[in-house]
Amino acid sequence: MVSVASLATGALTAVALVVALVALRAWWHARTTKVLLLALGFLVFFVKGLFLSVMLFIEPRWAMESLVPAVFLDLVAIGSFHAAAVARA
Amino acid sequence: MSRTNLRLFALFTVAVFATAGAASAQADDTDEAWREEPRELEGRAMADGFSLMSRRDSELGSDRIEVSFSVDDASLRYSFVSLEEGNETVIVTRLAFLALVEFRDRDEDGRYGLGDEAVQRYDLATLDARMAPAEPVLEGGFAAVATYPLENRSRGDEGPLGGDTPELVPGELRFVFRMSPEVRIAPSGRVAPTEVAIDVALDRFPFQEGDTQVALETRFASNRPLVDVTDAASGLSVGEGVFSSRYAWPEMDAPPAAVLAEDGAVVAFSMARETASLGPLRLGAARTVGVPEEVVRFFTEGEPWVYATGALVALVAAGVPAVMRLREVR
Repeated sequence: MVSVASLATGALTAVALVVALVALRAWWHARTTKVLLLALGFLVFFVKGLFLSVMLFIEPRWAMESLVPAVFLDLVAIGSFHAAAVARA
Repeated sequence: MSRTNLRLFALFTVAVFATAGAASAQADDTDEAWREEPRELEGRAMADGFSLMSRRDSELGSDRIEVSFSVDDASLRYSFVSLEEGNETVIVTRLAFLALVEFRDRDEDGRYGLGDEAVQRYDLATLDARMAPAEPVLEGGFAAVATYPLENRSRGDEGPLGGDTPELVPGELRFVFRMSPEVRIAPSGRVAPTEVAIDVALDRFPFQEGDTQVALETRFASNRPLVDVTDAASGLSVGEGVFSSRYAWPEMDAPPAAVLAEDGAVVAFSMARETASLGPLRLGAARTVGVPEEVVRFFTEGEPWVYATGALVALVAAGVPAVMRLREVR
């Protein structure tokens, strides 16, 4: 059976990388706090993707072991998005 | 971010972690309480073994455990029957003590395996064993002892390896089976009332060579598949759904060698010449409500090519439109 989790983790990491690069490029042009916080949020998702990718290949019980750090990274990213939404332009 | 928003975010973070931690701890506590809840235990001695019946019907669960041992074929049958509504199941496991093998540790890994030389073998089912009947012990539990004589085969004409007239005091292999209606504190730790603990003692093993060790071969089989073999260094579990039966052993310097099959395994415990005991081995039922087995199976180990395919597809699917859009903007 194809490992759906492997496929999804690879895809998540790649998409997060693309979106983070686009957001960083946008910040490079706009230089606003809002866009920077947005880019940081996407970067955190990319870091989460990298973390899950490493765990996927080194830890047999990776899903259980990485649950808490992954949720923590999600919260940091959501916090960053929230800060972007409420920050003054 | 304003102070109020920061406080709200911090509160949200703490609440999520506290809820997740509390839910996880509660699941673990429930499983432990299920395992350690006192039970009714009855034992019956037979000429060639014993049988035990352990049951409970409470808020934590409704189930019964039937245990029987036959000294002639040296096998222990452990049957767990859950009567819980919606979780009815029957898990039957059989632990057979196959043989004592004197072996030379050719590959020097400290345990009996495929690369080692077997010097002699005592198949337990062929030995003239005797059984001391199951009897009540102080804690209200039961204990029974099975003894297998090991006659010396090292000199003379008879026996498969040129054995001689047996020595006057043969060696012996003893199994002490224990089960209690409540948690029992043993030197090796807590023994739950759902568990049968088996201490193995070996006296005066008739070694044929001076540089060998001895191993006890066991076979663990079930009507349910093996689950969670990632923890095979300390035991093996079979089961389906929330219930499982586990064959466990204590931490050892040389972990046992195991050959796994879909519904069980052959496990060989090696003992150095100076070591005369093993255990306790344990056979017991467990309930795990933490994470469903289907979820665990879904999150299997990583497959590099599948991972790379997913990354590549996503990179193209997300990257190409992004690059095109950026060019338009420029």
